[in-house]
Amino acid sequence: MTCQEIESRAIAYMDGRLPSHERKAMEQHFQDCPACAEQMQGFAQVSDLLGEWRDIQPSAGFQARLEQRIQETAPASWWESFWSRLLPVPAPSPAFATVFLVVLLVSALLVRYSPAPVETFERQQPAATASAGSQGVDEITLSQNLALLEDWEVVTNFEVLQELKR
Amino acid sequence: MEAVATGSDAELMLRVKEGDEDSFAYLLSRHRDPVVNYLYRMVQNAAVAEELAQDVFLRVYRARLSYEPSAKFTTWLYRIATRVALNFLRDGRYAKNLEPLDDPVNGRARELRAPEPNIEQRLVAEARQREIRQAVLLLPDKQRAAVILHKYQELDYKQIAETIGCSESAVKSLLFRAYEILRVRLAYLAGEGRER
Repeated sequence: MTCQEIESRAIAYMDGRLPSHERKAMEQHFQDCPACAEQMQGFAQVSDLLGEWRDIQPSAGFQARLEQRIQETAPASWWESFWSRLLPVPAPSPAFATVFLVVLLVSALLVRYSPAPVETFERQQPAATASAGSQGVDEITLSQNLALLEDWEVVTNFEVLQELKR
Repeated sequence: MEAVATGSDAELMLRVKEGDEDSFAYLLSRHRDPVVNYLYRMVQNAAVAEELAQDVFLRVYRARLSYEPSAKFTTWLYRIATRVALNFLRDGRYAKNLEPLDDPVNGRARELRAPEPNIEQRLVAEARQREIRQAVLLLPDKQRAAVILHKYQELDYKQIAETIGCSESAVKSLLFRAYEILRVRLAYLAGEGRER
């Protein structure tokens, strides 16, 4: 084994993770190469020194601060998560949004299915004509008496005329 | 309250994905201290390390809905932590937040210290730790991350490679070069040994 080949295996050797045949080959090389042997010994000493660097203890308030940050930044519900993707403003409450949507829907339905507008005077004329026609009155005669036609409904409901019919 | 952890990390994280907040607490109890210490050794400021650790766990929590156990949970966790640490180190704030190595507060005050028989030995131990911290601090960022993940977090080469974003052979090369630098810088300490 060459010094260059030692380099790629040195850390694994130090960790005890080399296959046995490679470990033996490296140990044979260390016997023949004092520089590599010294380097490997130095690596082991570095590992021991690093072990002297002790851990620290997180502060007592770590958990509480993290929970607060989660509450502040994470959406509390699917609704807020959905809203935050649409608009960069605070989400309205789900109840308010539901009421708003219902009002919107009802308004749309009312506009779509509202009854026809009040008939104009022009539309009333054919209706009056139809009314008169249904009572057996000649339409030509009616058209010749337009003034009478305007008051046709009044006339047909005139009690005196009702008496005459009998 | 320290939660009792049950299930593997991936199982717990999948439960968090389903909305189980207790599982997130379990994961936090398992990984809080190691992540804080990883970041502490990277940035060498205890207060900053805690702040960055909170960023890490916040990111984990936010990513819960899209979590897939395609890699080991610890690999994913330390990938996030490494990214957070490297971003901080590359940010201009880093130089302003270094703790003086002889600062009696912050990191040193929170170190889990084994009881030293006498003051002289305690001072010697503290001086040695200062030298070790300084030597690690002078390593390039990726070499430092590789050394810390290897020595303290005990990740294997594959995990370190996935965490840092390089090949396994590149990890071994990073570690070799880092250890060679540390060997030269800390040779006098190794020679002095440590009185017990």
